[in-house]
Amino acid sequence: MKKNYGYYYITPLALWLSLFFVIPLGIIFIFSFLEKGLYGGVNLHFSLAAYKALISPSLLKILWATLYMATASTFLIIMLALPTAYFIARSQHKNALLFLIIIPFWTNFLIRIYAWIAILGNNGFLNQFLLKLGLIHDYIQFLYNPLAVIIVITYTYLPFAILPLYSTIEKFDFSLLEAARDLGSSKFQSILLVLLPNIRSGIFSAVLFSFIPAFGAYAIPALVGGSSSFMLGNIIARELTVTRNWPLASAISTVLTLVTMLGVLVFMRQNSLSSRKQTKEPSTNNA
Amino acid sequence: MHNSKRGLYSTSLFIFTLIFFYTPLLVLTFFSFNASKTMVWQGFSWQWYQQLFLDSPNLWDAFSKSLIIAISSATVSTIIGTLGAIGLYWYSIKFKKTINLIAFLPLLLPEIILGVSLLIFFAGIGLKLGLFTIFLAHTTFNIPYVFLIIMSRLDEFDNSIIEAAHDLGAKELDVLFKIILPMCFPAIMAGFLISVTLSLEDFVITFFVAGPGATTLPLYIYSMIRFGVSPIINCLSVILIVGSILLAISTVKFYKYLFQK
Amino acid sequence: MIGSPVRIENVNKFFGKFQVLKNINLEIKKGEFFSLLGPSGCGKTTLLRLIAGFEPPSSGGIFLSDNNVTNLPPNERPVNTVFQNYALFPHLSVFENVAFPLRLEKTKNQEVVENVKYYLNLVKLNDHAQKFPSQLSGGQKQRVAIARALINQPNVLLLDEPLSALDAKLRQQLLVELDTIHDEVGITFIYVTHDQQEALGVSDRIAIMNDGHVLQVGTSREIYEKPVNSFVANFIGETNLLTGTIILQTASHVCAQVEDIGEISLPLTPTLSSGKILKLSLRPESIKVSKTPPLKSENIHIIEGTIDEIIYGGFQSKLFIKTSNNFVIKSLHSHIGECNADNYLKWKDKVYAWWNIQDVYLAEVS
Repeated sequence: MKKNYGYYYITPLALWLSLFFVIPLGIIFIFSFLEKGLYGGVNLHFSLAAYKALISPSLLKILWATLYMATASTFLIIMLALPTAYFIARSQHKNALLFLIIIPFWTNFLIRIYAWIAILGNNGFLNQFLLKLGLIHDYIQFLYNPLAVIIVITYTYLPFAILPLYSTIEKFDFSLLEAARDLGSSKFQSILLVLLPNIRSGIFSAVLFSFIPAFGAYAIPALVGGSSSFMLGNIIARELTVTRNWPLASAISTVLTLVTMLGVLVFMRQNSLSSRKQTKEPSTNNA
Repeated sequence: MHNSKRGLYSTSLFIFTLIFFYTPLLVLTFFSFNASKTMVWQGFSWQWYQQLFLDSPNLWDAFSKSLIIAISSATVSTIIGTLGAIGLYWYSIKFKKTINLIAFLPLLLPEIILGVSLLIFFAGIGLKLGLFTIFLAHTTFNIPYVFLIIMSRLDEFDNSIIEAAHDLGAKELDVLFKIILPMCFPAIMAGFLISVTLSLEDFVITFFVAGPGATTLPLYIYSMIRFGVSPIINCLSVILIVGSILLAISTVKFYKYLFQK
Repeated sequence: MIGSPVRIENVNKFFGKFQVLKNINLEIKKGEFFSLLGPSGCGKTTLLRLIAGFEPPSSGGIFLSDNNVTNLPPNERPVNTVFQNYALFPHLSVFENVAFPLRLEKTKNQEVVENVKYYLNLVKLNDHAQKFPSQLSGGQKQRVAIARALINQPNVLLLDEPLSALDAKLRQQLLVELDTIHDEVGITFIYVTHDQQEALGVSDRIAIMNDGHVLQVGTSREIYEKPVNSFVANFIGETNLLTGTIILQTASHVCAQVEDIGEISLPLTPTLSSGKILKLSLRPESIKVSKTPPLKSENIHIIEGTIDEIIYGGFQSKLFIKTSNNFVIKSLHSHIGECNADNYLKWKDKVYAWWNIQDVYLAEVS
């Protein structure tokens, strides 16, 4: 009866995202099952070669290293983000502190990586400083190892964890902590048993927002990592532009995409579970 | 009262986080005024700033290319994202959930996936890589941000506002132009500004879809960094940091002005 | 401005499989202040949205001044709505909010200014014309919404719980103003509320709704004093609901055996006959209580009990009186005339409670 104008509004969005997002994703999914062409590109023959290469020892090693670096930086990020977000949420100057956290991240992504090269490099600030103090007599190679990659990833994605954590902690009813203390729990117990379970969804999105970009990092390991700290992203770029094995690049991308989607699905499930729980609670209280 | 209760642990880690955040930027700023090329202090000098402003034509060329792409892709993605959010929010549409998910997914996927898939797609349809392909890629990753911002703004308004407008005699286009768009204006501005920032900032996706000669500012910076530490990059960093802080502050002021009404 | 009568014919409304309106028939008179009253979820707001045109009925028809408007969109009905949460446009000033319908019709500016001034004056908001909605209090927002809904000179004004977000004092005050505005503009008002005080206070007539049905339509007095069933009796005001069976019939009375309190006499009505089960309503204010027994009379029913609970309420108190077989009955006891502290009723006092048998209403027969 009423004319539905909604389709006029969403047509450009649907067309654009299908053409430049869904179709390209579909193409790399298909390419990952094809034979590699001689000079890049693909031959239209079905092949599992790319996935076989994916589980070769050399690539498995890189997959393992990627997992290790992404997990370690996610862990560091959460350990720093939780108390920081908690501090801001309980402060009287929330907006000013949030601003202080966000400002460094308005600067260019590459500049932030570059700043760490300037500090940790062989001729960098830290080496020069230690030499001057006489604490060391020769350069220490801080860069080009997994630790450097972990530090820079932590630096880059920390705010993406602080913001969702802050917004859930801010909504938390802090009188619950006082109630827990009143009922005899220690400060540590009250945080562990009352605060953390109630901000679970915030922790989960913080993990998601730091782990996924870390797992798919390209520029950071390319600039501050060495050959020992190659990540999957670097392999994709290498297979695409140097070795020209497009099916393999597509297969790695497909795996990255699936890992991400899995994370998002688990996240959405988790969220709907916890929101269902929350809507259920009042009715059980009434009963 | 809560101040005294805040734990030593969270306070000290908060301070650590701030130091961790700001030290690299302060070091860069400090050494941008260094007379020497090295990271050893040799006295104060403006020379690198002079070089940056007067003697770096390639850098400024890259900057102007970045700016053109940023403004054009931000404009297109703001229009598409805003209309899409309005359509999806106010109307009953088939596959609503699927479209929602597809519009959010680019935000979460690692950037390199979008870069790689677009590169292969452009190669497949025979589109020559260059500024235009960068524009297409940037518009694609900006649309979800605009979409998200407009969606959350629409979420603040009750459905009854639209019903009230219809009730008082407004037709479809009246509602769009006299109610929805003006109500969303701050969010539309925010979406546009964030798109400009993200486009100016993007390296990874641009890296894959840029052809020869299509060097944006981040690509140019990347090639400079590969050559090692350079005082000119220090200066550029300081300019970008100061520029972005000024932009941030003026945005906040602008919003305060808007919402005071 | 002229009001128009509203007729609702056999209207049903389903949301999915759930039926929220069940065969509604209503005649609302021209210029009437008509209330739809019921608990939340009874379908009253849905009925209002059907009249406004926001939702189509699943079946049935809606008529304004005998014109079928069932399929007209909201912007083509001479009906305007005042929303529960005001629904003011946040980006427009008070003046422009009220002027909105006129601007749509491209009315001349001078005419717009005159009209807006008139309606802002009507709701006493002339001083706030240039403010934005975020700068107004809840009561002021609702006045803007009323002025905005009236400026198009609708034949019917629909009000969807317009006062529910305001505090009690403000609610009283705005209710009186609404009544004044109704008298001034003279159009039909249809007022949805779950608050019986509001509805009883200002309505010409009220429709009581529950579970998708209209249970009773009548004036405030009719609904309070002659509820058609035990739901209405219980929903409007407070009451003691008694269950009994008829055991005896005389020329002018029937005698019912009421659980827990014994035999009660009722004036005879034609529907009553022996063996039927009755639901009787006895309003607390009809029950008098004292420590000394009242004079016995044919028209008075007396029970004995102790005061189980007293809730003090200023000029009166609510007493819960428990009989020897643990039946509890509520009474409103006035303190007016209680000059001596010795006369005060206290907890655990043995008392007599009595009422005139005329005050027992038959709420339901089954």
